[in-house]
Amino acid sequence: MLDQILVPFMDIQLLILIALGTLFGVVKGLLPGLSVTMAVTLLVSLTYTWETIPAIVTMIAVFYGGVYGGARSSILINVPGSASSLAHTFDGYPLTKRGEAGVAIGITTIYAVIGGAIGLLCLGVAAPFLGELALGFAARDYFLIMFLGLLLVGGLSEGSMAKAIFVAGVGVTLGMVGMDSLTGVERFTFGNLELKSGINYIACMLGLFGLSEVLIQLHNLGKTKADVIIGKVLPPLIYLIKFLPLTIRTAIIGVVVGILPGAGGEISSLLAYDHAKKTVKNPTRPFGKGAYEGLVAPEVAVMSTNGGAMIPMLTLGIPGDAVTAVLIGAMTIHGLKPGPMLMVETPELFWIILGAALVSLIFIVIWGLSAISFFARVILIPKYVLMPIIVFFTVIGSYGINNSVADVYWMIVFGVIGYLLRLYKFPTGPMVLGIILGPQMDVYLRRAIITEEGSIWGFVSSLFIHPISLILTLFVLFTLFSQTALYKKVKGQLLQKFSKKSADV
Amino acid sequence: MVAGKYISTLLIVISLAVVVLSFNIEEQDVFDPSSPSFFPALVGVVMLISALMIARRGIQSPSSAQEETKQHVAVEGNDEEEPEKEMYEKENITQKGINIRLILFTALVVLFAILMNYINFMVLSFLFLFGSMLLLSREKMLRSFIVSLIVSVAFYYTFVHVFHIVFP
Amino acid sequence: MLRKTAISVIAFSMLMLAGCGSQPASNASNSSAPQGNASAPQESTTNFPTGTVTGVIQWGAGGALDTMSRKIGPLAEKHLGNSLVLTNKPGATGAIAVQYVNDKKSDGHNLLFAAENPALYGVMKISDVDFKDFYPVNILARGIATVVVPGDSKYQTLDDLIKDAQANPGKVKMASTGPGGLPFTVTTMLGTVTNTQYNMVPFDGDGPSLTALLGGHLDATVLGLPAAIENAKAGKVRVLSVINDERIDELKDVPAVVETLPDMKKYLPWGPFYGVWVKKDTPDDVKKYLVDVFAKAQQDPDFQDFLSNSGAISVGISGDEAVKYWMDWQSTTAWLLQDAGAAKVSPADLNIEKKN
Repeated sequence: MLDQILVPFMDIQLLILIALGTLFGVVKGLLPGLSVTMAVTLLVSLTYTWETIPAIVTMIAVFYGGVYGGARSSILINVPGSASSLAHTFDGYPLTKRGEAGVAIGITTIYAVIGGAIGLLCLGVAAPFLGELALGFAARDYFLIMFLGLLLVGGLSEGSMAKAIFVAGVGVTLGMVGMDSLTGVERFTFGNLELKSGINYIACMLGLFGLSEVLIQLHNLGKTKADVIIGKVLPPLIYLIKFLPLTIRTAIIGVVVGILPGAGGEISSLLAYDHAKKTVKNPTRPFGKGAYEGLVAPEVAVMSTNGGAMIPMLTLGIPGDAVTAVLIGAMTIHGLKPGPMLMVETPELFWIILGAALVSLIFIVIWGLSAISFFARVILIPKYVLMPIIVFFTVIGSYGINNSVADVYWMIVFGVIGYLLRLYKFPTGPMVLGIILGPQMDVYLRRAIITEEGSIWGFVSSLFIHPISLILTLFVLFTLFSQTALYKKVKGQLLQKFSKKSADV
Repeated sequence: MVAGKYISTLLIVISLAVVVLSFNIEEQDVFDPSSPSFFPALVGVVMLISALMIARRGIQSPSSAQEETKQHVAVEGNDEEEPEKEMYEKENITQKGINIRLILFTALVVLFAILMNYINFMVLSFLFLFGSMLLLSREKMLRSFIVSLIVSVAFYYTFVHVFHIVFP
Repeated sequence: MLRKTAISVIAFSMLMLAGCGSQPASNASNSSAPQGNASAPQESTTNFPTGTVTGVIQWGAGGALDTMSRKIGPLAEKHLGNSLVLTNKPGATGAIAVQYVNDKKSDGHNLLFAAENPALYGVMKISDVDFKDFYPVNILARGIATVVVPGDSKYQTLDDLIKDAQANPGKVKMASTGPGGLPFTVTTMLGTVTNTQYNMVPFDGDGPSLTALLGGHLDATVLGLPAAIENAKAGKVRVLSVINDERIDELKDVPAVVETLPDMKKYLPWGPFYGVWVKKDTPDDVKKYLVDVFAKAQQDPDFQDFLSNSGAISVGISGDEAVKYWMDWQSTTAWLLQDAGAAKVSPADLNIEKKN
């Protein structure tokens, strides 16, 4: 069956479909607000009458291309193409500001492929094992993971922790507006039907990052200096080796998050970024100012998550993230039966999908690296032309989430809020983190407690009894501890001791 | 700072509101950790604490913050190896001019959203694009006109026929 | 000064255009030739449809309703005479989509693709708008529920599960997908009939609850038939019972719930259902046209194959027959919830008849 991997490589029709699909995904990914999930959904209708294999293969291509493409707008204009590319703005946009947009795109392309390949490797080699592993994660483990993600807030604070925490709190509160998914009880809705469905985080993100960025830019409409260099496109090869350990670690993070049903690229990219920040001692530049590692980590994670998400999809029929949920629906429509029997009854499907994803990665390199200078020139467009166009996209993006003008209003509101936040030196990242992770943390916490029949003691002890939970709990405790002054003091003292010792010798 | 006091009070008020609203969530016991009101209340309390800490440190108004960062940069400027290049020429405009521009621009966006339900989307996008470009710069109007035209038409067709987004 | 004049002119002209009256669905003049041309469109006296028809799906992408809607959509489009565009509008247990379609004109250009949830909006106090404000174009199919346990569970039969629950009230962990959801209602049924209580752990949907079950975090759950069959074949779950009044072909060895608990018979047949609705005050000839279109699509062998592959039972009724169908369902379910103390508003207050 392994030979089935080669099918996509050999069949001309499939090759063309993958090429087009990937291109479509990349282009769409760079349009802020239009999510990959939407693109794949519409492909379901488009490919309805096709045969199963070409249809699925095309959707896989769009999936990979789209997730990769989201990084581009994050880098060039500081507007995330989708929630998974939020982390790319942290170091991607500063790179553009330094005139290294080309390198940034080059890095994301290369590492997208590496990350994607690692994810697929896990899929091909260890799928059943990883699938079982995913099942072992209980609600409390998800809670711990989300909590870890939220602790990233500390890293985004640019100084005042209190401000970051407050903003995150606002985000969490906003995320809880609406009907509680566990009990159906309304929270913070004031009886309004629109609020009942909650505040969409994409509209929030588009406003907070897109519109507010534009508003900030409007402070200065001076001409862009023509002598800003786009820069080399490929990072020096040395970096490939230097970043290898980081790459592998973040790829693991990506795959693990991917296999967890319900957790996708948005979470893995953030966790990866945080991890990079904590573990890379001497980044090429300080994080937040254009560190290459700050771009490598999220991109690797997000692309390996794709592979990870396909594991539960193919081995259990359970979606690993939003896009795989749509893919499962598509398979059902084409007469397949996603579930544990899928691999048994139609094993060739598994390998063909793997092969198609690999081919898609190749095309990502092709499409991604070509016309880089063309894309990078986007920043040279005069602001008075570019800003309206960006806003235009944020409006369409927010509308397109649910075909609702209400989301556009939300986007505008968040745009103004984001602008004010920036003006008063409040960080904006934590709000999006709060809105995405907050409600999930709440749900998992409650589910875990209910599972322990409402006993808090039962909950706390469960954190330490089960192996997976124990590991995660230790991570969380360590992260919390490392933020405190005590830790820094101890660390400082230890370092002093060591340097003294080596000096003596 | 006057501005600082207003903002800190605002933050405290917001946090208190969150806590109070959590108590008001229908039929739920805030102290039961499995209830939907537990987490919101907890978050509200955390927000309150951070708001108080912020109030203590004091808020900086934008202009004073800029001065501070300028001093900061002047001191540290020599340490950094690669200072960020200035990407944009400085524009000649007053603070008041900036504020007017911001308000008008935002108003245009809001207008765009409101009118989405009434005017054909392609026409509306063209108007918005052209209008905002004019707002921002009087020069090269013809170029603005053409770009707005192309963008609105091209993307309208893309969104409707490729993405099947249904516009109001 | 010139700049400000230009802006005010533009703003003014925008307002003028708005004042000239709202325009109907802007897609009408811009859509390309209708994509459906396989068979000639029906004869219609009122020229319906005059533009693209929008189908609003009440739940999110990838779910059971979404998959079924996207399966029948293209089939219906063939007979429709114009494009049918499907879009998801999830939220508030589907109430958002219901409200959305309700706000549109009653000209048949906006269809609601819904599952059984709107029938419970009243008693669960979710929304004031529900099935009573719509006309059923076609109730496509219904699903069947099963009770499953992990493959290595200590429970061999439904009886084992119930005995354990009776011995340890509130300890046996079952999944729930929220108030009014499938597992919730079935478990309430079982609870009422056998006088047992379970620890209902809430989840967002079938998928997550299945995942938890497979991981051993739950003792049992109620699962739709297709997923149950697939997982049973792979040995990952054991199906203890089928919530139906007779055995199912694909699971011949699994007893129907009435064999173990004869008292369940009064609730059955019961299960989730999926259908297409249009606003109640849509003109009659438009309604008739839509009914014809979807009847043909529903009977299409392609769709029927899909149904049997998904373990769903074809229903295919419209109009008054369909109204009776959902009202019966509503009556059974609403009173069931009321008797279990789970309803927020008494069905009596909503004029829902009690059947038994």
